[in-house]
Amino acid sequence: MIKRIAEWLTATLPPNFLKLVLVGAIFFWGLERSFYTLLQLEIGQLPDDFQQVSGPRVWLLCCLVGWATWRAYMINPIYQSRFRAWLETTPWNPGGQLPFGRIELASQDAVCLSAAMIAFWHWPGSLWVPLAFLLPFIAILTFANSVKKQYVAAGTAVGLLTMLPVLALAMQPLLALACVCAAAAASEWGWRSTLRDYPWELVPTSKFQIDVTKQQEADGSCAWWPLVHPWRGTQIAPLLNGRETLLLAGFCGWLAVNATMTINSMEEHDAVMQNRPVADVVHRALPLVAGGVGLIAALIRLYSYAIWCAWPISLHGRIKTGRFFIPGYDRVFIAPLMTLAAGLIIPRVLLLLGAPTAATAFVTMFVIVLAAAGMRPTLATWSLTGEYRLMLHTPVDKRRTRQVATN
Amino acid sequence: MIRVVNLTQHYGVRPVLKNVSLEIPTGELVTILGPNGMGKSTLLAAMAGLLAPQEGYVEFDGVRRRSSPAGELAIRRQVAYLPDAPWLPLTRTGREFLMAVGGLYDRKPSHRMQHAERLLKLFNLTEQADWAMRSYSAGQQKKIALCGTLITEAPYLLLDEPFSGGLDPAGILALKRVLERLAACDKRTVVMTTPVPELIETFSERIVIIKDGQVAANDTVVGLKAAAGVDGPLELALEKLMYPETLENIESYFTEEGL
Repeated sequence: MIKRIAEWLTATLPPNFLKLVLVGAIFFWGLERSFYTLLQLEIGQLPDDFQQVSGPRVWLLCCLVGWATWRAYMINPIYQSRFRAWLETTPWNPGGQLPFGRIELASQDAVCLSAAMIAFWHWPGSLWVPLAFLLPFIAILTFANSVKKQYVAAGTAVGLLTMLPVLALAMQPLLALACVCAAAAASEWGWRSTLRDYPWELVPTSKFQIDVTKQQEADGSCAWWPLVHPWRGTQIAPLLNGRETLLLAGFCGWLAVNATMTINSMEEHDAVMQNRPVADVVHRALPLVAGGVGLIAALIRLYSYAIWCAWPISLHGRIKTGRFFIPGYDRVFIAPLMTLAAGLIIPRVLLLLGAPTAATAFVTMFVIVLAAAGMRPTLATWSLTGEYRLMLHTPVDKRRTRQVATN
Repeated sequence: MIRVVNLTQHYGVRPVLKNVSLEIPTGELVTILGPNGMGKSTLLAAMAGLLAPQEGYVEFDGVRRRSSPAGELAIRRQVAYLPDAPWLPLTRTGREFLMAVGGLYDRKPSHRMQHAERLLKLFNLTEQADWAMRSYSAGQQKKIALCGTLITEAPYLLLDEPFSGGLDPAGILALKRVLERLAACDKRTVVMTTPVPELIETFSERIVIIKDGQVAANDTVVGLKAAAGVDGPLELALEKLMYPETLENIESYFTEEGL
């Protein structure tokens, strides 16, 4: 009976994990005792307010991090390419358990974590026990989910985790734990969806095996063809569809809200500590920060669209020939300009209208991301129909472009 | 069929192509000739989709370039373009390069392997096939770039000065015969530029002469000879059609010297 309980309990643990924890705890306890004994011998009686670091506790936290990493990374076929390749030769399907242990959370995990918490019940930092396991587990699994395009689950998990600083500053440990548990549930849901998509297409096809080294780009030994001719933009579908763009914008807005609330909480905390009135830091800084974010987003958009192409005619040519506006090319500037304008105008207008800073941060970030990632043309449409000259931005290529111009 | 309609291209102020219109039927081997700097490469680059002309457009089988994503993608899969100075991944072997380029055009791996072998043999590159391309001579690099274009098996081949760049006589002969056969038997459309007319008299079906950014002549070899009133080799006809001022300059050079 005991053997069966032990088997059930250790089903989600790495091999010999409990033995390792026990031996390590004894070793670190011995190390800790020896250190403090030697310290006492050296300096005499330790001061009353001396904070002793508990070796076994630190060891347990490290073990929990290691356990989470083993569960979410070491036995995860998304990360282990050779394991994945082998798995694809077997009749395994997502309905069955993975051969080297389950990744999903199970009731045994709750029992083990509860036992660990009980073992440290009198320690003020006992909340760190579940967090030491859950935080790395969620982070690693969320990354795997995002690789497999489970953006909703990944975004929800990250969004919930970004609330932690606010809750920590507000001294709400139970709410923080609830928040982490909700994030774990989101990553679990995403992982189950990822599993359902098996077999995964993660290995690049031979189609894209010609790559350009940085050296080749630097010395200009790569030109237009075949680097960019047939396959740049072979996917007509946009990188993000409308729903995904909205989700991304909402997620970034949520991050902005959390950042705003965290800064406000920190300011309130500092004001109480320094016995001074609370300053509205966010209200003052938001227009400037939003302008900077808008500028960066606009530059990223412009870079991703226009880095490998040149103007159809030079600026001098435009002026001399009176072609000030070339719609087929200049449309590439509309989205970056709108992005920049959103960052510069929206926060100022909303704050003038008396909107709360959190709401202003959300709306501003939402619109910036929506403009930068969602405005037409899509990258695929632009690369296939934009009226640009094809080139790469290397000195030699620029010379070659000029060569064509003069031929 | 390739249709070039009222194409005008200028980079700065000087127009390189002025209202050029052209029709190239499927399966024809066409050579674009012309003095340096008159727009041959620009015309080919516009056909290849590298340039967005200020006016006019290029059509392949009735689909206009850069008019829609699906149409443009369809054209890209039909067209192989070889620039004058082609890019090569120099750290890769010639065989790897050919396999990768063939893959871009969705040729099956087994077919690519076999085709690559035949191309390497054709251009005497079998021995160098598994060397990194940085160790190739200029002529060998040109040959592997040509192989890269041919392995695509694209219905439209746009070749910018394929006979230049250090190609040896064996390579020139192989390329001439292959292009001739591809156009005649495989109904592939080949458009190429060259500044050297001697090479193309025997196999080019039609010659387009570009001068001052405009089409000065567009005819068969026989037609061009008749237009120039020349009964001898094509070279003489081209001298009259393309370089009349050069002939006058030669005459005046010797006349003024009293020779």
